[in-house]
Amino acid sequence: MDLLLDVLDQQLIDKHGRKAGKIDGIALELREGKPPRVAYLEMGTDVLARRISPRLERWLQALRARMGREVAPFHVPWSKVKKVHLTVDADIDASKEPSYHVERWLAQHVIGPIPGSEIDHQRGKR
Amino acid sequence: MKNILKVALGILTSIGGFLDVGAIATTAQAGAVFGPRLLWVLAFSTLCVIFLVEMSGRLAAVSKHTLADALRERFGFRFFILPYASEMIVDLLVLGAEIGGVCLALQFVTGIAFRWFALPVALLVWLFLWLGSFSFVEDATAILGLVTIAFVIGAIRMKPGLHAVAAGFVPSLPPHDRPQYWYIALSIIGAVISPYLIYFYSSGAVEDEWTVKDLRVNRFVATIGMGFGSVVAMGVMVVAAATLLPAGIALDRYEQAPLMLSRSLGLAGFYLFAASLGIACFGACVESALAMAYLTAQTFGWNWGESVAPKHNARFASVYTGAILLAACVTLVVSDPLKLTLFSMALTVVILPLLLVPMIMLMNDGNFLKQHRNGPLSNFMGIVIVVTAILLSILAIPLQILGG
Amino acid sequence: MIVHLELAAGREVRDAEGRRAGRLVAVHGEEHGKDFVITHYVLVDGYLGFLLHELGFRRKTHRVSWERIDLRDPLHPRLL
Repeated sequence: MDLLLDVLDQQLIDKHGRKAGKIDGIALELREGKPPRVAYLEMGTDVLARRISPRLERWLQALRARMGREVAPFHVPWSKVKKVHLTVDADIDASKEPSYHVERWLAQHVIGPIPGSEIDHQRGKR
Repeated sequence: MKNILKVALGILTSIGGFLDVGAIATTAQAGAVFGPRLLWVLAFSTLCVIFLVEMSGRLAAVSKHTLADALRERFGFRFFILPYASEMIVDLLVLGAEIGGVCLALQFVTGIAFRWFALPVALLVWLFLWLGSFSFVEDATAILGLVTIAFVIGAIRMKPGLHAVAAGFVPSLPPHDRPQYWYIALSIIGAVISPYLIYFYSSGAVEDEWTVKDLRVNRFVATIGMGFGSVVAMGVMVVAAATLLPAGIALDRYEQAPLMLSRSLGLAGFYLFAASLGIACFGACVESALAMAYLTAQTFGWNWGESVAPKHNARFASVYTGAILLAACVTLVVSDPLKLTLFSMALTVVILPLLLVPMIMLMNDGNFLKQHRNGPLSNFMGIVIVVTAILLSILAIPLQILGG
Repeated sequence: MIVHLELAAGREVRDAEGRRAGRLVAVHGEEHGKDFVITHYVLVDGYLGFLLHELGFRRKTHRVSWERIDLRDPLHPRLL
């Protein structure tokens, strides 16, 4: 299995079948005399910013610090990964992860209060 | 029958994506200045779009991934941020132009300046997305969109010279005003081959849960759907050629546009023009706003879905809400919605290769498409489309300066 | 020591003398019990070769065993 092709940038699916973001980063643990192992998978805007340029990441962090909002990075230890196929299925709950807090905040303060936000049209599946 | 719903997706995508303010403006201007001579450009663009739409539908049906999903997963974030960011900027301008199109239609009917309608129209578009399900949005716009057949009826009623129309399908060199000819040709292609249409169609196919069994229907829908929009756009060009060209009306002021149908269909024609423009642009508003939300949610891996309650897909809903609001501000600020339209189309042409090159390569990837990879015909058309896109991307700015 | 592998994707790998060894295009590994460990890397010569490889064309690649690449600075991988 190729980490760059089969894991990086793939869709992460949580244990309830919900989308939990794309895998933005892979943390490797380098060990003396032993091959590197995957420590955890990473998600978050910081990780994405760093991939574009380290300066962008520092700017983003400074911005966040100024706003007083610290968001813990979203780590998925490799032990929680169940299956790697067209998606990466992991034994986590997307709604419990820290970066879901943007979704929750929007649902509570912006989207939720607008009338009609709870109207659902799904035909009884998912 | 489920297949009827699928045809509805095709027609909706066509009304919103193919037939929008850009397509109507460019084909009308082409007809007013050069008669039916540029029909071949429209026909060529239609062929390209049919293949691209079929590909994006096939990708969705076989891999259950949308185009944006697959592009990030296959090519990585560092690459995909480029088409993503540029597409979001262009789509915002397109959305602003489409809102402007609906406002113009209302200006024609009421006489009230288009700017006053920007916020109400934006609100209506937003309500459609907020309260409606994907099937409702699909079906409503498709049914209402049938009014655009008025252009075809108007064209037929003007009894255009069939010889000239047929000759229009043969590629020709400009008889006069060479830079303007090629500039309009380029704008037609930019208006017809819109990335948001392709992103929207593949997202719609996933919303409607297409599978491998739907591949033949996908081909049918892509052809009939885009074909419908194309026939209407040809109607626009022919009717403009028949009504505006002989009268020397070059369509440099948008107030002249309704004359196309009022000359052939009387007062009813005037209202039919406004209705067709308004509904086609409304469909485009819906499609481009949704495309921005789909694109963002899929790039970052969020949950998404038009049929799901907004409260449960708060980020997705926030994107289309914010986009509609921002775009309405753009509409309020521009002096002339037509200029915004033409500008956004030129920009579309510039960024097109960023999407199309990886897309064609993706369509040959066995991991996503298994045994349904592109065959030789699709790849041949893919190469033609990519070469055309790269050529146009280079020529867009110079042509805008010379012929615009 | 933890390194961010995603930063190394597509970077030019150089040897001790600074000569180019190719761009990193794949990181292969396998399961060892609960862990996933790296077995080898794949490099492609030249920027054009790298672009063509990423687009999906078949290119000549070099397979390098895990102990020969130093990823401590993922933006500048070193060939040992």
